[in-house]
Amino acid sequence: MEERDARPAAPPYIQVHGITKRFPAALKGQALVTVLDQVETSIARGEFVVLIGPSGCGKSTLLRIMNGLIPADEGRVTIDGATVQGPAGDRGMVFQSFNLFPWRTALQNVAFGLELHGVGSQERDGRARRLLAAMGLGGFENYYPRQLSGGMQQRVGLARALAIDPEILFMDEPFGSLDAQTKLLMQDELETIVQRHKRTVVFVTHDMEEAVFLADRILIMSQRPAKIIEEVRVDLPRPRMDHMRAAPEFGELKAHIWNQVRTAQEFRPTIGAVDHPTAATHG
Amino acid sequence: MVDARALSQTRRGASASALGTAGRLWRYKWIQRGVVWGIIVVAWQTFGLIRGPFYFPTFTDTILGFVRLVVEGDLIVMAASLQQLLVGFALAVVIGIPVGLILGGSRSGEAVLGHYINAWYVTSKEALLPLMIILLGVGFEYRVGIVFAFSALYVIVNVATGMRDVSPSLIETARSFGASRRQVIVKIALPSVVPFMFAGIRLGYGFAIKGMVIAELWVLGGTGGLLADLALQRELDRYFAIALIIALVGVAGSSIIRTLERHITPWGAGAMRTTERRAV
Ligand SMILES: Nc1ncnc2c1ncn2[C@@H]1O[C@H](COP(=O)(O)OP(=O)(O)OP(=O)(O)O)[C@@H](O)[C@H]1O
Ligand SMILES: [Mg+2]
Repeated sequence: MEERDARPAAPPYIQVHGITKRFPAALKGQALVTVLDQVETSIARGEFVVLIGPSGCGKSTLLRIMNGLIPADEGRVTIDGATVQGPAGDRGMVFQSFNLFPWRTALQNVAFGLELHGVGSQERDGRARRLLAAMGLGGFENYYPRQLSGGMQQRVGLARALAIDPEILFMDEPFGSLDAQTKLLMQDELETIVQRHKRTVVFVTHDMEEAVFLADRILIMSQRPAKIIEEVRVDLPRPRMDHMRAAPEFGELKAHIWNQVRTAQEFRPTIGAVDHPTAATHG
Repeated sequence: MVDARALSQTRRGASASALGTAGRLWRYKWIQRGVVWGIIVVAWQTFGLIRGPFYFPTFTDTILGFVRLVVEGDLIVMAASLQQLLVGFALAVVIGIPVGLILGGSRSGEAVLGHYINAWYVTSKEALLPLMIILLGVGFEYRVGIVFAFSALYVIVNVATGMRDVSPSLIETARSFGASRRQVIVKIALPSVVPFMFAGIRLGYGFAIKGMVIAELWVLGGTGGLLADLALQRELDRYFAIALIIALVGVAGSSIIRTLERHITPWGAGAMRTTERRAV
C-alpha cells in the first residue's frame, strides 16, 4: 500500500510531450492522415503501463516513436531527461508481428541482442536457453522460425527482448497469438520477471483482463487521430496472483475499462481521420 | 514396417499382393526414375532403328559413340572446355556477388552501374561474340570471357534484387536492439541475400554452359568445334554422346549447387522439405 502511495511522487522516467504523427495517405495527392494528435503522458520508473485503444488508432506507432524507431512530426520523447534520438540497446521491443530472423534458430534469435553487445557465446547461449525454457520452449532451441507455430514464434520474440535484460520493455500485443491457457501462464511469467527486476513496461493489448492483471496504469486511446482520453489506475497489490482475477475489484475494473474503451471506440474527434487538406500539396 | 505390411498383403491372394507390391515400390523415387528412363531408352532405341543412323543414332550407338570418345581422346578436348567453363563461372560468381551487393545495396551503386547492367541485360549476349574475339582472340581468355558474360549477369541481378528485398521490419527489429549500420548489413542484409545469391548462381550456371558451347561453336574449336565437325560428318553417335555429357555436366553442377544451398541455408524452403521427407 505504501509503495502505491509513493508512486505519484516519483519523477517521470519516460515523458511524452505533444507527440503528433502524420502518415502519407495510401494514394498520392490525398491528404496526410494524422494518426497521433498531441499525445501527452509520463511514466514513472518501474511502472507497468498498458495502452488500449481501437485497432488502427496508433498504438504501435506510439511505441515505435517512444523507442526512437521512427521520428515524430511534432513533440518529443524524453527518457531519464534525455531526448530520444534513436533506438538504444538498453530498451527491448516485442513486435506485434514477431519479426523473427528466419535464418536464425530460436536460440540464435533469442541471443541476437546479446550478440550485438559482444557477450560471449557461452553466456549468450546459456541465457537464451534458460529464457526459452521459461517460455515453455525447451527442446525447440534449434528450430527455425518457419518450423514453429505462431504462438511459439511470439514467445521466441518475447524471450529475445527479455534476453538483453532491458531497462524498458516495449511490448506490442506480445500475447496476441497465444491460446488462452498459454496466455495466462505467460502473464504470470511476465509479472514475475518484471517484479523481480523492477523494469518499466509499456504494453499494448486489446485484452481487458490482461490489462487489469498486469497494469499499474491503463491508458485508453481514442480513434484516429488518437489522443489519450482516459487514464485508469489499477490499485491491486503486487505481485499480482492468479486468484486476484476472481476478486470483485478485478471484475469491476474490467467492466470500467470496457466502458471506457467502448466510449473510445465511438469517440471520433473529427469525422473520418483525414485532416490537414493542404498538407499534401506542400509535402 | 514395410515387411509387416507386405506379409499381411500376401495373405490376401496373389494378384492383390502383386498390385500392392508394385504400388508400394512405385513410391520410391529411384524406381520411378528407373521406369521413366527405361521407357525413354526403349523409345529412343526404337526411334533410332526406324530413322536410321544417318538421322538419329540409337541408344546403343550412342553408348558406343561414348566409348569412341574415350578411346580417341576427345574427352581431353571436353576437359579443356570444362576448365574454361569452371574458370568463367567462378569469376562470374566471385565478381557478380559483390557487384550485385553494391548495385542493390547503395543508391550511388545503382546510379553508377544501373544503366550498364540494364544494357547488358537487354542486349543479346551473342552480339558480344565478334567483339570478344577482337579483344581476346579465340583462345582460353575469349572462351572464359564469354562464359563470364553469359552467366555473371544472373548472379548480379539476383543478388541485387535480394539486397533491395531485405525486409524493412527485420531491419527495424535489429535497430531496436541497437544494431549499428554495419551490424545491420552483416547480420540482416547479408543472410537475407543468401537465398537470392543461390538462385542467381543456379541460373548463372545454366547460362555459363550455354556460353561455353556457343563460344566454341562460333570459333569452331574445343567441344563446340567437335560438335560441328561430327554433325557435318554425320557421326551422330559421338555427337549424341557429347550432347549427353554436356547435359550431365549441367545436371551434376546444378545438383552440387543445390546441395551446397541446402547446407548453407538450412532455414530455406529446400532444406526444410528434405528434413520433412527424412522425418516421415
Ligand atoms: N508506415 C506507415 N505508412 C502509412 N501509414 C501508416 C504507417 N504505419 C502506420 N500507419 C497508419 O497508422 C495508423 C495506426 O497504425 P498502428 O499500427 O500504430 O495502429 P495500432 O493502434 O497498433 O493498431 P492495431 O491495434 O490494429 O495493431 C493506421 O491507420 C495505419 O494505417
Ligand atoms: Mg499495433
